Amino acid sequence: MMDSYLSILPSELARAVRALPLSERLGLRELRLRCGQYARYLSLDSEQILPAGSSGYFVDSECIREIVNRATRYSAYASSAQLRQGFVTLAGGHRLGVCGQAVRGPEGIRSLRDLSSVNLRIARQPEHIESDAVEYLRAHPDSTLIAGPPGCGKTTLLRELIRDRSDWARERVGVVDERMELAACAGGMPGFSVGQMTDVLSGVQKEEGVYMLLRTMSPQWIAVDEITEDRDVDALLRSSFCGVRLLASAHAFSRSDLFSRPLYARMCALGLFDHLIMMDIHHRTTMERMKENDQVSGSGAGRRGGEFGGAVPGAQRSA
Amino acid sequence: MGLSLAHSVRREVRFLQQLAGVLELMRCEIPGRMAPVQELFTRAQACTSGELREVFSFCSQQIRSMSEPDIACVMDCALDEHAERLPPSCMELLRELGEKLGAYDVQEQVEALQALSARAEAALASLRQGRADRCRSYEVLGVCAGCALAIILL
Repeated sequence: MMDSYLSILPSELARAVRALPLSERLGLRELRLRCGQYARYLSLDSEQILPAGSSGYFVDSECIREIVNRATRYSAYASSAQLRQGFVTLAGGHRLGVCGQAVRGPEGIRSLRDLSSVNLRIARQPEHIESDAVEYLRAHPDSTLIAGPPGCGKTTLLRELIRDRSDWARERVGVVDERMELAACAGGMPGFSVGQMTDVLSGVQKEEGVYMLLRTMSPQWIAVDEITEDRDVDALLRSSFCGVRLLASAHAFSRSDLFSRPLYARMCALGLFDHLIMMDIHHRTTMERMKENDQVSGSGAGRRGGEFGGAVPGAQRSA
Repeated sequence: MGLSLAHSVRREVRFLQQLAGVLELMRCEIPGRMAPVQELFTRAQACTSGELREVFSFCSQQIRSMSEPDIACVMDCALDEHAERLPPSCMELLRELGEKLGAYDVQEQVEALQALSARAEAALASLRQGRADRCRSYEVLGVCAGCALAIILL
């Protein structure tokens, strides 16, 4: 399943990837193919030309078209909703980002044509994350918000918490996977392990998805990734009235940044979440209890976690 | 020979009917369930017979293995391998199906299938209109030719 992404590549390109040294292959994060250039890959932290033949694998428009055809299982109509957003989710949780010229219609982007580049993001799910955040949630099984900057691992941690609630706590979890990054379902099968008692709604807006889950799946928890709109907050508020606990993530560079954003400040003021897990770019986490009307410049009652400069890696639990 | 000609006409009608049915199935499944192409070919295989069934079966397998760059290539390979005895009208429709299937978003895909479906129906109507007369003519021709041969030999 880990190497399932190779099936969408032309045979010569797949061979070149397989020929990479093992350490590079295990750390392979992205494969970047741009029309008119040599294929490049991102492993660990550096992007370099993929060795193939004498100088590299030259990418042309036919190659990109072929890859997108295979990624969509030759069914552009079935993937049109994703393609309009510039990506296709593959089996195994991998994701193909697509760039090209937008074809616009009266309701917005209809499709992409003249594809110019693709970025194959390779998914890697650790077997098991025994983190302090998981232990914290086990000790305090209440609604929890995960916040942090882009690339810090919020989605990975959220996924692990979902799995832990499902498998360890044996509780029913409903996931609204709007952008198909949490479970990455393809053909009905989750690309990532999200737990035996987890139900996943894929490609549905959070507001609709939350109500669908509440009406039909009787979840004990609802999980969503990246709260970005007021209606998301409204939907989560409704679900909290039904006794459902919440797991969610949000973008924020720091605790002060989180509370300074009107959407998140409102969310915190409503008391939607009992606990906050702040992450930084180095995957360090601080855990704390959130209180209603908790603001950085306010009461200071929720300041136990502190800013990242003084953050203690790992467990910093509050009562 | 006359009987053979009549048989080929009936055979063409049968294949065109099956193909029209497949196109209708695809036209309904795509907007309703966004069924991917491989699933459509698998279902087409189940509701067809003979060479047509073999073509759809081959297409389904090739798509699963993702060995070709697009569906047009898949269909070309399928027709080269399995369609020697398919009527030309069916082969033309299948080739065009290979070029159009999976290439558009939902609305355009449905319209493309509707156009193909209309052509299949038109070909069927034309065949049926002349079928009764032609088949009778072929049969009479065959019987007369057989009688003439018998008389000559006698």
